[in-house]
Amino acid sequence: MREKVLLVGEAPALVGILTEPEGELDPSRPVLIVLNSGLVPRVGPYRATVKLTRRAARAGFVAVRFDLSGVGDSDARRDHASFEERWIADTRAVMDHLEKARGATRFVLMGLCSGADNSFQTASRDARVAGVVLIDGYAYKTPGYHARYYAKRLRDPQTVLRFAQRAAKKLAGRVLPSRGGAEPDEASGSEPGEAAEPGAGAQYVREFPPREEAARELRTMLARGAKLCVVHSGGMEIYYNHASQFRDAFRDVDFGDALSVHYFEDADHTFTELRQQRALHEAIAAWLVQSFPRARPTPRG
Amino acid sequence: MIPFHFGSSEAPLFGVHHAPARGARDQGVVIVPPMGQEALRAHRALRQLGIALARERYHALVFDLGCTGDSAGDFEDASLAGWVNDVRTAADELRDRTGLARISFVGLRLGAVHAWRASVGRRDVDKIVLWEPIVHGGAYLADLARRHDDFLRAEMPDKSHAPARDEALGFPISASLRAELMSLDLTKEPKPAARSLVALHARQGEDERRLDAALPELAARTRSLVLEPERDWNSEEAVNSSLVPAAAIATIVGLLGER
Repeated sequence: MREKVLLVGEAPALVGILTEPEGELDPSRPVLIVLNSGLVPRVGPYRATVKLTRRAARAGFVAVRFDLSGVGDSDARRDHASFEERWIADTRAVMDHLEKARGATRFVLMGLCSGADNSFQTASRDARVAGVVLIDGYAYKTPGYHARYYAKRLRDPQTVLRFAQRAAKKLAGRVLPSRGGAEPDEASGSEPGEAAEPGAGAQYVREFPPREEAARELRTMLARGAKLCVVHSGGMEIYYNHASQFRDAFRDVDFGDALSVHYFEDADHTFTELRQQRALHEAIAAWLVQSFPRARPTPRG
Repeated sequence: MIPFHFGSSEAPLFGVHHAPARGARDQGVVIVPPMGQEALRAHRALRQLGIALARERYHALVFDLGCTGDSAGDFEDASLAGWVNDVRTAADELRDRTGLARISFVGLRLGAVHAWRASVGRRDVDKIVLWEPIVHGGAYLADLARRHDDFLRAEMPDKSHAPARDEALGFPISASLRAELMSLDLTKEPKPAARSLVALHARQGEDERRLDAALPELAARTRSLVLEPERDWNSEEAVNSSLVPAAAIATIVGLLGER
């Protein structure tokens, strides 16, 4: 495994690291590109991106981790584009660079949280994306979600008590702001507390597209043969609480055998515990190798 | 800004050289990061420090210690002794790249310990800035364990978590690293070899007072300052923010410029 500094574009350049496997490269395999999670530098939460890109390289993939503009070692761009537009443009610029410099034509995009959203949006626009790994990406509540949500709370006497107290106060005309035990506002697709500030005076607020739009984009990806690895953690119970929820939310999308879903119920959003990190990395590495196997050598003679 | 790998080809280190646009001063600055999650939280602050130093005509090197960041190696194999060698390698690299005869170190948290130790035996170190230094390794481990447990309890209140011993905030703590940390007491270290030694504290607790009491014996010029309260860079909120401790950075740049 070898690592090189990757600079993409003119000053200010995007800064990244390209990891190559030892030995001969298999050109049929896509290049793995891992995107930033929010403003976490390219090494990723708890250095997860370094571990994953190196692991991918040991499995025979070229892998890239880089900083989007305004994140980590990459300078902010002074333009009027939205965060989403800029970050998608950055991701495509890295793909353009790898295509021009190395002849890479297919890519797998991977990210957690905003990195998953960026991967999804880029994949829906760019036919070179052959696969995505979406960790705590877009999610949509289903009837099953609500059933599980309330069933769990009804099993907890403290929650039942808090609910009864709130109901009593409401009846008495004293409505208090909801607290941790209450279900989040369903009218908003945004995730509370997810705001970042890559540029002065601007804020990034995470928003999910309407489910129908996400379904349309999934169909676009699937129609060109893209493969999906969807991972959710128990840390995002606020909008996802069961392994089957992704498939249930998109019953109108025919995934065929292109979808792999993983649910880590005991993991927090950034997979802090080492045992959870190991399980996540194992699942992603296995998906990569299975989804994009080595090309069979052409018989000689 | 020049990102590059340096050191041995078997285990290269990654660094970013912030070079002045013109008229470089006659000394460079090696910026030594803290450990584990603290390094991620501090990434932007240390980058901004490098940029600020280059604006003040210093050559500055911000780098990842071995087994951390983009440098080679797994964190499981990290050791304090190895990190001290990495600081020496980084100092030599900056001198080789720039031709400068003298360097200063700025070390944040555990990075302050590495900077101190790396200076011993050298004759080219002008100043060492100990930024919120770890004074006592045992207290540091206890603080990490508390932060780890608090974080998981806040993130996953419904789940039970085994008390952290072999890991802290997403990073493994090997038995050997734990042993090295447990035996760390900065006030009992061999004298650092620097003309000037400055301690910058975020607060004035018992460990900080012990270090300050020892300071006058440790270098020709010593100072201790308590930083103005500002945004806490060492928090989970800070890791996802572009805001940096600007006053601390300005203070450090000012201190390095003093004769």
